Amino acid sequence: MNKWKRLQILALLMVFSLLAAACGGGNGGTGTNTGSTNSSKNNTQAEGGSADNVKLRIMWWGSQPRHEATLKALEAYTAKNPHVTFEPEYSGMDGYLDKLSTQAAAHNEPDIFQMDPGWISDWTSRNQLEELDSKVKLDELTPSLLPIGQRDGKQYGVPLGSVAFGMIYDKAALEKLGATMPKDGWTWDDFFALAEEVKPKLAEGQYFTLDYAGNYFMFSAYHYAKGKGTLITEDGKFNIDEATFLEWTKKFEQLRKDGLVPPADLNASDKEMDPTADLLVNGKILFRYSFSNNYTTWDSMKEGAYDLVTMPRAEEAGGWLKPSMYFSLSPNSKHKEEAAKFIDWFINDPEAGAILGTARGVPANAKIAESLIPKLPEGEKVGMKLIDATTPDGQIFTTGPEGWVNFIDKDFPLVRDELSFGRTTPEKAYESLKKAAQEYE
Amino acid sequence: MINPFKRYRIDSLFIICFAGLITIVLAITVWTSYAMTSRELADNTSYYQKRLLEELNNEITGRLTSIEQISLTTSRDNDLLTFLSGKEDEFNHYRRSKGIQEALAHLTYSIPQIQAIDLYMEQPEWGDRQSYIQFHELKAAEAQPWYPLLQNNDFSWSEEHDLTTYNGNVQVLSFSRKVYNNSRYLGILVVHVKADWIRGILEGYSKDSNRMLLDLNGRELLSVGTSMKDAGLQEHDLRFKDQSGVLRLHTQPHGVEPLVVYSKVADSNWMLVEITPWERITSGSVKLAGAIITIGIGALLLAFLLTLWLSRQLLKPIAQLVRAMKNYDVGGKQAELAGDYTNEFGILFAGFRRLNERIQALYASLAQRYEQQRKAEIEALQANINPHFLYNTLDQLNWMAIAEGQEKMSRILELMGRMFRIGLSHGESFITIDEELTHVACYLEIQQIRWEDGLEYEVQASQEVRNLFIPKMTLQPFVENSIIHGFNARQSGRIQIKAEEEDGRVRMTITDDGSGLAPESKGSHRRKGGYGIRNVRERFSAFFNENYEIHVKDGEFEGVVVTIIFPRLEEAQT
Repeated sequence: MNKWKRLQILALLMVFSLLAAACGGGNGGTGTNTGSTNSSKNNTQAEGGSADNVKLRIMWWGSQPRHEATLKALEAYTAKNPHVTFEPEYSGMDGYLDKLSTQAAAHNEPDIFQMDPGWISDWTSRNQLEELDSKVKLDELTPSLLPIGQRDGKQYGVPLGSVAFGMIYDKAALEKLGATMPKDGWTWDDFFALAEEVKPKLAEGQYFTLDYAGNYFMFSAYHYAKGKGTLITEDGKFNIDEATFLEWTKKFEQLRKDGLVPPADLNASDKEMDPTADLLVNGKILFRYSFSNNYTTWDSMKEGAYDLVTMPRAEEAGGWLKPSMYFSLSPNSKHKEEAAKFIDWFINDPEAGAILGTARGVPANAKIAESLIPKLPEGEKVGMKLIDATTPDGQIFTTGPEGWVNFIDKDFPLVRDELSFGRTTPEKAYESLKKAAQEYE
Repeated sequence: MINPFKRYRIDSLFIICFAGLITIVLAITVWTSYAMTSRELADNTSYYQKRLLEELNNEITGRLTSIEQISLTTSRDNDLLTFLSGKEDEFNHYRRSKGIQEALAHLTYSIPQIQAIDLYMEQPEWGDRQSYIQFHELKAAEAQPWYPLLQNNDFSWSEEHDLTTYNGNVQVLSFSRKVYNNSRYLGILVVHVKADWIRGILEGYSKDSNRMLLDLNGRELLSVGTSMKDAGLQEHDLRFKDQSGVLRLHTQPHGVEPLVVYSKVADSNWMLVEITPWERITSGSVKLAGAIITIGIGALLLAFLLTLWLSRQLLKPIAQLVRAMKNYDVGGKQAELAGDYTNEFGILFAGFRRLNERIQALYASLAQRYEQQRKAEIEALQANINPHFLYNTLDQLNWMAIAEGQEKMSRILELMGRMFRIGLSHGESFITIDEELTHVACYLEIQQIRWEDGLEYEVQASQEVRNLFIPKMTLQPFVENSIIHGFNARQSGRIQIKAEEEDGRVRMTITDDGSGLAPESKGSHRRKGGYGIRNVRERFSAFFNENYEIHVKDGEFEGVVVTIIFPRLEEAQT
């Protein structure tokens, strides 16, 4: 009888549980949902972050090796933080700023984007960057790289590395021509003399260097070397020395006449670091300017053919060290915390450092740079050598005054093209630059 | 056929009946609810899908139209026309190409839905491989997937295809437009729109739906989920008539074939089609049916328990009764039946108890009877022994009487022997009337010998009557009675014995001429008769129940008349 009673109770319990299950059947979905959110919450609690899955948009410019290294770093971060995924947008330098500016105007810029040192002051003045001091650990970064990313003592751009401005040349081709090899610390006179020297040896369709007559950076280097300082003063004044400008442009006018720089249409078709359109890669020119970190890109296209050399000097050094680029955070980002955490990882984590190498120059994080340099592969050591050669008396890099970006990006290139296509004379070119500068002063 | 209610155990019957009923009700409920709700759901689904598709259609039309307008505006741009015409010097051409590239790039920057813009032209120069804007040779257009559609049109939308870009392959829909300047064919402007964007609109907020975007000719441009071909739907399906509609796809058995809803909107060049698998529409019904089944199983279990409990409650007394009956032991200890039942079971129990008591009583009387019978048998056995001893002794006495010359005594002994023989007659209860008359005659002869004349008797009986049967020793007690009491203190007497048949019965009459019955005050001895007569009465009562008559009366003038009436018997009764 006892057994029977127990059976009864058991069966009753079973019936009720069944009924409960039937009533709960409709809610099955929500049941499992809460289960999964619980588990994900646990995950993130373990990692100390917020609960939801986050997709971060990130944008940068660069060459193929930089894209690859960066994508690998993103992958590594997602592997460590499964709730964070990325939507990367990357391209070459051309159009990058246009695109970023357009998106920013629509408040649709990526959460994280790479900034050139020269843009930061403009962007901060329009409140288009998010303050980062409180969000990213900056202690280990090389102090000299920080000020350019700051405004009113607050950090708006986190420096990613530093590079040296110098030249890359086709060592193999020069050897073949039997020409003198450039040495670190060479002068502009050496540079133009070398052009003379190779002139008779150049093959058909082969040139000494690009038409740099109207190139802002190359002329800056020449201007610096001649001891004339920056092209625009810190307080926003047109500072191009007329004599130096004419000297420079006339030298290139001569090179153009001598066939040592490519004709205008070919010169215009040059795309830096593009495997098909880069004239150095195509074997059409011997010299072009380069930042120390870009060596690996060229090296990857024609291994062992190239070498770096310091920017030629005169009274002063021609080259300089500069912060390569910065990461900034969008004030419109919906995931500022996660984005800042990623930036922090990107600059401070040894794993990220190892993946990125010197894709953005010598890492800004001194500790990582220190641990990284001895282990660098051969290719990246070439860039380090240029930095070392530039460091002792290199020019001090400035971003220039606010509001001159268009002068550098629009007015100077127009003069460059007019000079290249022979549409203007050096004198007229100087006049039009001076006139254009008045709008910015 | 055997009635199952007579054959199977009651608890099983209970459970089967209840479970069967519930199962049938359950099955009907499940089927009805499934059939009704699934039809209702399909109607609802198609109605709302149609509305939704129309909304989406309007939205997509709006978006695609704006892309077409951008393409149109761009193609009418003077800079672009000048650039394409190629009638400028190199520097201006170069500067203009930069300008065009920048302007077009700005379109892609400010309209992120535009993946890229291609320009097919005579002299494509100064392109940038990494740019969103690409200049191509006009001839290269022929290899493009959208080119055939442009043959007979000035503009057209392509189907979804892969676009190779600097950042890898991207799925795009391309809007291509021929660019003319004063009827001079200059090139083709192709705007690549991100397919994911349109797919996103198409998908809306309903994930995992199967929708496709078709042009009015039924050509599939893009799909979300299953493509038209995978779903088994023909391009240019003739069933897509009128504005919007619903149909079933005939690719699978009728019960499960997917639901197809399509929508066309008046001012739109597009048609949207949504295919919904039947099981998704009916998933609600299936869930409902599942819930009903679960509840039903619960009810079944409950019913099982209830019937089990009920049948146990009902069967408990029956089981008690069955047990009591099984273990019934006459005279032994009786199983106790619960005493608190007052319903039918109470009556049943009481009946059983009463029956038991009756059986006990009967059994006791049977035992007593048996005991008596045993005693009688022993007596009979003893009596069987006595006669032989008696015959032998009588025989010896006879011989002694003959030897002594006592002829009378010898005769008496001989008659006695005869009487005994008839009286015993092997233990039979019935003898023929003839024998009975012989027996009484022997007795009377003995009395005659004792009386030495003075006693007369007469026997009247036909031969037929003599062959009939009668309980033995019936007449002797009455005759003895007449002699001892009727002729007491007299020297003579006469006895007449008559046997006759009357209405199928036998009437025996013994008439004497003795003193008659004594007055009542003197005692009722003769009237009632002594032991012998009482014995006769008792035996007659035992043999014939009420079917006999024995009357003892005073004669008309003198003496006593005894009348004995009993059934006519042709054979001895056992």
